[in-house]
Amino acid sequence: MDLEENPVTQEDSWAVISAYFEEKGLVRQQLDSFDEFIQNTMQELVDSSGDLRVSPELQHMVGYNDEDDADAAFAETKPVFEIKFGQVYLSKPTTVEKDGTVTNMFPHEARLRNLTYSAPLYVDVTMNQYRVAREANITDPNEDMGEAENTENAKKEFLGYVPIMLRSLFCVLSDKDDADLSDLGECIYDQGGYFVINGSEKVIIAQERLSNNHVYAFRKKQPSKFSWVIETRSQVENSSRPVSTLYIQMYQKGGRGAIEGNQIRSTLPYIRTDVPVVVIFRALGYVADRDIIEHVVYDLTDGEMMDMFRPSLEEAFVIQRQEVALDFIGRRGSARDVTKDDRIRYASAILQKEVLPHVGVEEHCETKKGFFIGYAVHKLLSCKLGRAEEDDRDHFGKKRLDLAGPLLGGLFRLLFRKLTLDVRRHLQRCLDEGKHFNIGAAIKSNHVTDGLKYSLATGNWGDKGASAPKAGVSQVLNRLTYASSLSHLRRCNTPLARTGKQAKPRQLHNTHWGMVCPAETPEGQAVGLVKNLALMAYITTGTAQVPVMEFLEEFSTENLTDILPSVVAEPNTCKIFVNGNWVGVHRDPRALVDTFRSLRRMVDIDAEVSIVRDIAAKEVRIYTDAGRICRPLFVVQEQQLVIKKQHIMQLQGLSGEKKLTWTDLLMEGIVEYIDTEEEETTMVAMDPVDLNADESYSSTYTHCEIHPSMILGVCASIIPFPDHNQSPRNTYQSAMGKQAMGIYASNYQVRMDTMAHVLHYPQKPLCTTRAMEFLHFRELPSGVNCIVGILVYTGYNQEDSLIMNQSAIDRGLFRSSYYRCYIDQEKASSVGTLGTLNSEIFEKPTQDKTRGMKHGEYGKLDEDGLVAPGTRVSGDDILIGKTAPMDSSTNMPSRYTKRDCSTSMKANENGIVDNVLISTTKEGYRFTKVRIRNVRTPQVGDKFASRHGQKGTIGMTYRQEDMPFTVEGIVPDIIVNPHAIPSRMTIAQLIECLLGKVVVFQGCEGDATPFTDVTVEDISTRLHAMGYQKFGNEHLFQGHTGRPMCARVFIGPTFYQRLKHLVDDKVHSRARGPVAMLTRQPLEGRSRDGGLRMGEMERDCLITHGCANFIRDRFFCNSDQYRIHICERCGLTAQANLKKMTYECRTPACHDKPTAICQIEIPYACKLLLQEMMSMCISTRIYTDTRVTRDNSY
Amino acid sequence: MPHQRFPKVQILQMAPHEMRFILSETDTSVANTLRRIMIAEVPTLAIDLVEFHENSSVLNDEYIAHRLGLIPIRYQPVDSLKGGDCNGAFLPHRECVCYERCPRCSVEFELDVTFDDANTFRSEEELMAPLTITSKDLKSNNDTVAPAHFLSQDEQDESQDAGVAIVKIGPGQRLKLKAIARMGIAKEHSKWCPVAIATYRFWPNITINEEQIATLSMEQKQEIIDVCPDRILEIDNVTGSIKAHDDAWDMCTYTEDLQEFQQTMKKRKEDDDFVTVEASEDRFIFTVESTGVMDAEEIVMSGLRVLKDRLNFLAQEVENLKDM
Repeated sequence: MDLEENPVTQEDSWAVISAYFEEKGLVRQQLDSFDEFIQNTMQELVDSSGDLRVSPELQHMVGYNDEDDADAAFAETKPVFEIKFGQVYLSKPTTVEKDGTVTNMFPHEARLRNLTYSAPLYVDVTMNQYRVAREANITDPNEDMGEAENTENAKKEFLGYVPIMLRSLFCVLSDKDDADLSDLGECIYDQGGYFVINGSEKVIIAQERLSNNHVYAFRKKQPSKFSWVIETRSQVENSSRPVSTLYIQMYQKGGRGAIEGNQIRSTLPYIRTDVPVVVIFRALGYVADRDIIEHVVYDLTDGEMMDMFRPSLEEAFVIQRQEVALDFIGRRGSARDVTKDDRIRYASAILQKEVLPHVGVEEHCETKKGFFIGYAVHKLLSCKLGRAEEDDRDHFGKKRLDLAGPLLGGLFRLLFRKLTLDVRRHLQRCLDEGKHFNIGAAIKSNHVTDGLKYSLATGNWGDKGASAPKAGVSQVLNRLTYASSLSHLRRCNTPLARTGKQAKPRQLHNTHWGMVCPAETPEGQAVGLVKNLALMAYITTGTAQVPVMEFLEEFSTENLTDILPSVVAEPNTCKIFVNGNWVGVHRDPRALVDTFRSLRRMVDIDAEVSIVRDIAAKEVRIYTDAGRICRPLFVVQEQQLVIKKQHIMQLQGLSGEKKLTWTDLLMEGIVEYIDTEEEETTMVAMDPVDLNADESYSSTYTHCEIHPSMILGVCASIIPFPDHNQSPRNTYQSAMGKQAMGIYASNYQVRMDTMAHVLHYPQKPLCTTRAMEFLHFRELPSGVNCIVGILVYTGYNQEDSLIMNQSAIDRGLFRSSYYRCYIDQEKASSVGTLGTLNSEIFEKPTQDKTRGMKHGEYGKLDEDGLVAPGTRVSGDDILIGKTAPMDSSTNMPSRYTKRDCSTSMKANENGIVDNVLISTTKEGYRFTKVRIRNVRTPQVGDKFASRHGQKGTIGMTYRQEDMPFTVEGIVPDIIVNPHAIPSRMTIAQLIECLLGKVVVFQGCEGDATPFTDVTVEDISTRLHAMGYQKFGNEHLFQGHTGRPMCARVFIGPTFYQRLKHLVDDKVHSRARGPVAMLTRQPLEGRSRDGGLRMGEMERDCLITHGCANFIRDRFFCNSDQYRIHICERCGLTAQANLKKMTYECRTPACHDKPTAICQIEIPYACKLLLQEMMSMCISTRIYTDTRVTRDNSY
Repeated sequence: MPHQRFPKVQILQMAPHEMRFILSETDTSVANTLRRIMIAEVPTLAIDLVEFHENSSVLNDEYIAHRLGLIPIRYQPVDSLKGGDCNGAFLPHRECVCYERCPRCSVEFELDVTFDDANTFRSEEELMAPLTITSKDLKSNNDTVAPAHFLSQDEQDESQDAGVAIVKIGPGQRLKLKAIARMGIAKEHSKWCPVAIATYRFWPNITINEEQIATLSMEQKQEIIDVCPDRILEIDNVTGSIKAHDDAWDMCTYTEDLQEFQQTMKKRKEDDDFVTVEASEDRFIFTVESTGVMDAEEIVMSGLRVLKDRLNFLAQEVENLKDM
């Protein structure tokens, strides 16, 4: 069949990409990570928390002497209670109403009623009672406890509520189809991946960090004591221990002490000074120089390296025995004045438990640790000798992304430990007091419920009281437009100080290719630190290390403990690392790697495990940990794609056989996931065409890109022809696309968001990219195809402003609705219980009973205290009438019994009441949300942008007859100034316009996917064939005069977006208005009807103009003018009663003297300062010098 | 009156929805005035006020009101075949003496569609599918005024839809409203604009320099012809030279390509052009396309009347000034 002969083309890869997104969606990393947490991590954490063992403390009870206890056997033993936490269970998300009824909860209800979408967690608890010898160490988990005397099982004890990620396995939506979803009030395009906490949607932003257990070598910037430093951040997988970092440094010549250069020392945890590495070796039991050299240099014939290591050996010459070495370390520990034996025990404990814990914390790990330290020192020496390069800190392969799973895992571990501590305390008290112990009462479920909720709600990751919690980990999901929500769910953050000047971590690194979007990053302080995942990037969830270890053992890997160090030096041996830990050596690495790969391509080994063969360093590194960034690639074997035309047909469902899915492709080894580190050992072809033997660049391709446009992220995938733009323009558009109005969710009518914009007539763009299909940009677009002319016309489109067609606006162009939600609830009153009036109530406040009523209009309220839908409301109108009972206990005779606490509309907004929701909170209080709707038609000052970082505001609107027109009578909707183009080099906008024009006449969609072979030449030929000037230029006529314009004008359809910055939300002016209470200066900000700031620079300008009176007017008369009276004798403020015309100075010194009072004008802030100084016993005296001045009274 | 000219009109095509004519022996200013008036100042009817009684559809009141405003409302006297010009039949509502509104300045429409009621009349297969409310559902209180959608009965019979879609409703939803149409001009809002397109193009004067053309090879001639996307040139089969296409006046888009291309083809820079296309300043080809509110011809006539009224008004004002 000729199917075999047809090569797979780049076009075919879209079938593969579709299969990928069909199965995975765009937020798979979030969902998988959370599922991993729920299904495995949580159970592991509970299992590894250890058992609680408590034995009662002896209590002396009155009238009871236990010395006389007849039962001698009892004195020898003690009872021990043990609590074991077993299996955990998670049920479906539920909520408990105030009356105690438990109902299943749906996310939409949680959003509307400000509830938390969470599921109850239960755990099986086993309580054992033992009797053991009195001196038994019950805290040691290995202690043999014997037979349990009594066992009690508690099934499914409530542990707390765990927030559930939407669309994860435990979410009620996970198995629903589109019809069910819309019935449940969900958006059918919503992909989940976020939480609903107190009604607001929260995303956990992936956190970037350096990977653990990796040996890094860094050259130290001179001047420094050290020339090179080795860093290893060691952490045991899934452990609560903090990271223990091991530094091994090579000293420079000079410096303090007898340092002659190149000694290698290491810092050890809890040890005050650096310890020579050779001493550490000796302390680990490698006493002979030869042993140490074998572990470090490997090859004894390597004279150069031996020479480099000699200073270190010589330095440790005086310490030749293990005990001496341990003592040497112990002496430098924190413990003082202890015996030598203690010191030795202390030192060996540190070596066993604190140094390189990932290698092992059990006893007898010395061999492995020796090898590992030897390896690290070897690396240091190689670097020093120039044989190896410094490690690249910014290499993306050494980065890990912590997603919802690991982050929640860390939090849960913390909270669960707090919970177990509480249980232990409770148990201890019960035992001590001889009370009955009830496990249900002991478990404080609030710890888990509130702890998780607190962190998710505030974004402060860690304990509530913790000193330095990570801020901003969870954020409110951006719902401005659908693409902005998607992009938010794929964002990652680098927790680095934003102020740091060094540019390196912010720069795009080669290894970011295909993993991180090269365009989408914010501008300003966070540039390059906040990244967005590329479309096909996937983050590993972590798999067990055990299957890999079993595989290695089966394929004759020699364990480190079983080999002689000399084996390492043999030419064909290769070191094997698993997750950064050296596990053994292998003599045929090539075969090992090949077998490994073929097993992985059958998914016998998990597809996300990566293997790297570093030939130069003679290493094979295998990673199974979580947080690696990887992406799928086509597998190439013998310069041929493994994928064949028939697979494509099967993917498209064209052949008779079963439709292939993405998983099938993985199983058949057609595609595989390659992580950033493994990518460096592959040879990737950009295009299937590149594999053709006769013109191929390489003959050793191992993989092929699925499609190069997949390097872009969500926002950059919306840009047509981004490969024709200057790169910063794509970055600008990526930021602006998030502010565009569109339809942000298909369920916007039933949602009650605090603020939302919805475009009335959104259109799918004429020029689309293939990736838009997966972003649902066609279904939920955020813009309109406008006829855009690039010309100078009347001068109202200068400096990035636009002229817009008023007639088009009248007909609905860029019309949008603005929704705003006001929320209030009846809270328990702070005033004590006064009969029935113990809480606030919604009602229409009446003038006669209510105190403190607002200025606004109460007339629009119904009897229930709420405005009716359909009511037109404007600034300061009352939307929710609410009163609180007043404290009548003061017994002040008052006609008021209530205090007004109504909610009024924002002063400068207006609209129509769209929807009113009344419900109850979790506590049973009444609760309401009122949604106001307002139609916003485009007007002068509103902001618009094309998809190429070309933003502008409307400078003028002209009706159709005033707009220039073509010979066909077409008038542009938007006129942009040609000066916006040359310096910005947004060629793609011109190509979009040109292709748009072609496509409009052909009635199809234009393909604007980057890195395809569409050329401008092709497009212009097509346009020419349709009877238009090939470069899109047309002859235009002036609208006002009707005369032809002399230059031809580039005009055609371009997709424009309306951005959320509307003048109606910004216009502000004030003549007079409120002042701040303290300083009596005008307030700041539009929302408070504040003044416009006359800042320092404006002041400087006035000074240079010399207009002193104007300065006085601005800064004094119109700000905080005030007058006080001062005593001319003592210079202090005097008392003046202007009504009675009495003036006096009561200062003792002036008391009886004739009054000499003078009135002065000073800023109120100055008066405040004087009084504040007075309170600090500083007297500020003002003396006046009466002078004839200009009359300022006008 | 010196230099008085007598503009001529030659009608090329006249259909209810579209009219094409040549206006000659006049100035650009006159042609443009006519164009501008047809777009912006011909009075028409459009829905301007909507009272909602019930709206449980997915679109909000403002949205529907805006859509209603854009529906073309056609006035056609019972005895008239041509139609549309509502001038005289109605008064602009601001000029009417009535208190709020009266039949002289407004037309009322009622719309009341309930899904559940309408659903009973529908066929089995589309029973629960959303129901589209169209301009057909607008019931006018004036027999001469109705929403326009189709050019002819034939077109309506062929069409899938009944009228201009207003909103789709689903089970349990209802839309009940009263809409008031008034007369106005497009200067106030584009919904009163009677034209989809009202435009003119300049008559092209195509001169062919036979002398120069003769120096060209056949390929070069073909190249010149191909360079014009509007295809205004063709090979003269008789003489083998280039000639203007018979319909060139209708197709010419005045691209600069021809001129630019000739520069590259000339032997010397100062040589004459082979072909020149120039816009004549006193001949205009007008195209007027109606939205359906009135016939294209009526739009032109109404436009001319407005122009005349305006000129008369100006003349009157000047007279008044003289008297003072």
